[in-house]
Amino acid sequence: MLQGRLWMEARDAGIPPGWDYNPAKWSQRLPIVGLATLGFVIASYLALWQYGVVERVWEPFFGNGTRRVLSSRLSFVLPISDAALGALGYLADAVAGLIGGVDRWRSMPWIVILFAILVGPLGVISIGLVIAQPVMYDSWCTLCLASAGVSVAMMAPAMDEALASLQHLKRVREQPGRSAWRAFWGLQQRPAAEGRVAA
Amino acid sequence: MIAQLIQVGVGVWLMAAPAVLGMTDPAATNYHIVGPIIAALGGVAAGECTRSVRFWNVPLALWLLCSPLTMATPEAVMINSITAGGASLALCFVRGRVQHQYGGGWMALLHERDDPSAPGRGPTTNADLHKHTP
Repeated sequence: MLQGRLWMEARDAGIPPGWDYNPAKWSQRLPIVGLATLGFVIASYLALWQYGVVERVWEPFFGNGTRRVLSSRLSFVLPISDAALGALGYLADAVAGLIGGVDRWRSMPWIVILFAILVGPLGVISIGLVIAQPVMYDSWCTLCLASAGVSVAMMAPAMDEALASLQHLKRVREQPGRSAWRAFWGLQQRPAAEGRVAA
Repeated sequence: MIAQLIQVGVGVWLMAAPAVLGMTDPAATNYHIVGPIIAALGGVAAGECTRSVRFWNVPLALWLLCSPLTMATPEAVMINSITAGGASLALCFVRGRVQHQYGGGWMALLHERDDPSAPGRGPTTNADLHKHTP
């Protein structure tokens, strides 16, 4: 029975067992990569202003808000500014979203889990910064809010793939002699284990 | 998904309300903290796969309902807190349509092996198995 299930996994065109679509197919992943790219552009622009490369910063609604937020002490609490850190985060999201083929949820779970880990904290930090704008500096920053919206929008779509990977690892762990650790890194199971499964 | 997007709207309204209603602290800060969290959790819950995240807003909605008891607030703000808190709480319990199947979802990760009642184990009828066995 286990053997049959493994076979089905290998032959079902990348759709995880019990699912009705493949969460790692490109039509699922490219929109997230697009959002990450948009976030990268926004955050880079804000970082360029913070480092004096761009003279003026776009702010249609809140007057001095963007300048006050971006030049605040909180923005420079780390060695690089918050917007620069955000830009790096979005870049990492986009790259992690692109690595691997359409069955990466089972062929390389490590990148799927890494992707989810990268997307998650970025969203959490964004919300923290959104709270800090009015509470600490009595200001709003339009593009900072847009960037936070982008990072929140990326979270849910990134999680379905992680769920498929985690379910896959759990199934592997339940097979006698098969290593979830090796499956996590997308490695072949050891021959002895393979033999037992095939027997 | 619509209920979750309305939840996002409630959160965004709470972010804007202090300026719109001319609120002062501590109620304004309360809104400025609770609003973004409600909006973000609502946004995550809009995804089908993470729909259960909508329940994470229950404590925030309850806090919003109770907050007028803990801090001095003008009547308009009190009405707003109760309305927004009540709406947010109700929206937490609207699941909405989930069209896709997720192999038993996150709960499938907790089920013990070979539990035939566990969801998410894929099609396991004998016919399916024999079809694919080499």
